[in-house]
Formats: sequence, C-alpha cells, structure tokens
Amino acid sequence: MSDRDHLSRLTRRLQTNTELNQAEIDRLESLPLQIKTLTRFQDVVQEGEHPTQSCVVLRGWLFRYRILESGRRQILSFHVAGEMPDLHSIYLEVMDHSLAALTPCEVALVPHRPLQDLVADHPRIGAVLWRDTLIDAGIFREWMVGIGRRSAFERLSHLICEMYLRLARVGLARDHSLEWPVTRSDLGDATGMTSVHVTRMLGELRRARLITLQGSILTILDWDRLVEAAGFDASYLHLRPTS
Amino acid sequence: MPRYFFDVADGDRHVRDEEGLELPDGESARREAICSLLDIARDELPDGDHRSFVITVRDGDETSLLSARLALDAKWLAQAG
Repeated sequence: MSDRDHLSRLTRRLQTNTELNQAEIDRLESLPLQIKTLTRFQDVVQEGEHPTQSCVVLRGWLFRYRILESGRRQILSFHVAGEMPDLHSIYLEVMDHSLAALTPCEVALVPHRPLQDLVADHPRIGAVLWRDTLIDAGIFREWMVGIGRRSAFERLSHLICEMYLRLARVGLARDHSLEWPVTRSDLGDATGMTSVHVTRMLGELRRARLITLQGSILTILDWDRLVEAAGFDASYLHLRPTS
Repeated sequence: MPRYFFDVADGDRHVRDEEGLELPDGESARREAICSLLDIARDELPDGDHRSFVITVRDGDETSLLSARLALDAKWLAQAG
C-alpha cells in the first residue's frame, strides 16, 4: 500500500465532515509518514512528552486517557480509522494526556513540520483541520454532559450510538452492527462507572432488546429506540448529509 | 487473577452475575462492590424514601465472600412548607 492509500483514510473521513477539493486531497495525501503497529495498551504518546508528529489511525481503536495520582484511569475518548487523535499537538507543545492503543492498531505518523507548512501555505486546509479539532471538542462536550448528567443506561446507549455512526461513516460498520472491542473495564473508565455497573447496564440493554453482544460483535436491534433511550442527537458530530 | 462474581439486589430484583470479573484480590473486590453500590444509587435515586441495595460477592466456588448494603431512609422531621 502506498503512503497515499494510507492517508486516503484521513481524507475520506475528513470529507464526511467537510468538503475538500481534489487539490486539497492531493496535498493532504502527499504528506510524509511512517507506519507503526501497536499492541493493546501500547502508548503512542504519553502525558508530558513533546511530540514532533501526529498520528492518523489506519486500523484498530485508540483512546486518550489520564491517570490520576490514585492510579485511577479516565478514558477521555475513543478513536477509529481516519481520525487524528493528537492533531492538536502540532500547536500544543506538551501533551496534557496520553494516547494509547485499545486494540492492536496500525497508525501513520505524520511529522509536524510538513503539516505546519501545509497549513501555512493553504489556509483552507488549515480551516479544515481547525474545524476537525472543533468537532473533536464538541464530542468532548457531549461526553461531559453524559458523565455529569446522563444515567448510566443513557451514557452507554449514547456511546454505542456515537461509535456506530463514527465507524459507519468510514465504512467500518453497517446494518447496525459493529466490532466492539471495548472491555467492561475500559467502558467503565470511559463512562465513569465500575465494571460491575457496566455489566449490569449491558444486561439491561440486552433485556430491553436494544442490543446483542456476540463475541466482539455488537448489534443494535432497534436503532430508533436506542437513540430515544440515549437522548442521542447526532448534530454534534457535524456529519455532512451523504449524497 | 481470581474471578469474583457480584450479585446485585435492588429491592425489586435480584440479578445474578454470570460473567464475573477478574480482580487482583479480595480487597479490590470489596472496593468494586462498594463503588458499584454508589453507581447504582446514583442511577436509581431519588425514588421513594426507603431503598436499599445489596451486593453479594462470590468466588468461583460459589462461596459468598462479602455482602455490602447501601440504604436510604428519608423522613420529614417537620411539616413540609
């Protein structure tokens, strides 16, 4: 696979949010990169580091997290193919959280310098990437609402709706079925609840005939009812209508 | 790591844990049980003046190791204004 093919994951995903013209696609896909494979829980970059590159997820799930002094972990976000979970590090010198692989992953590491040059030379690409980090911030706001105010049942339902749409837009999920590699402990750390409560809520979701979990395949049995149960409104994902 | 099972009774229903959870030791299981009671209470309350939630922790040999109970008792002390 050529470098361009790898970065087409990024440009295709960006186009689910923003219109790109062919010249912009060409420039983004011509960025230099280095491929790296990661094992589960391997860090891409750690809190306190000064990264000189950002990554594009090619395969697998990544997550951003912080570890508190007590040793407790908060997962801040999940990331799937085509996303750039540490894009912000091109302008923020020091990482204020860590980024790691949730599953075995493949990422493309893109050095900051050519990325910064691209943004400086092509303000429209700068605006596209800026927009991307703004949408990212919108997703954080939605998680904050969830952790602060939604019930555990709503929080889990909401996360399933969100991840389904984020995977479906890049062709990695369809027919309301998705690969779900998130363990109960990971889910607890992402939604601010214990593993026991996560188990209880997943049981409730099954009993309500909203989802089934077979191995690592999660199937949404009734999308409309799940959306209603979660109070899910996809507008914060700013997806463009598909033509 | 040993596997612990957490059965939850919330007054209306008793849900037996069939999957269990691997934890380093009994103390971690105790902490998990107590923190889970807080999660459950946060979700289920307020709902009436008297509720109690009980988690019983079992090991893989069906031995009950620990029971943790969290109760709410609310009552008026003066006529509501």
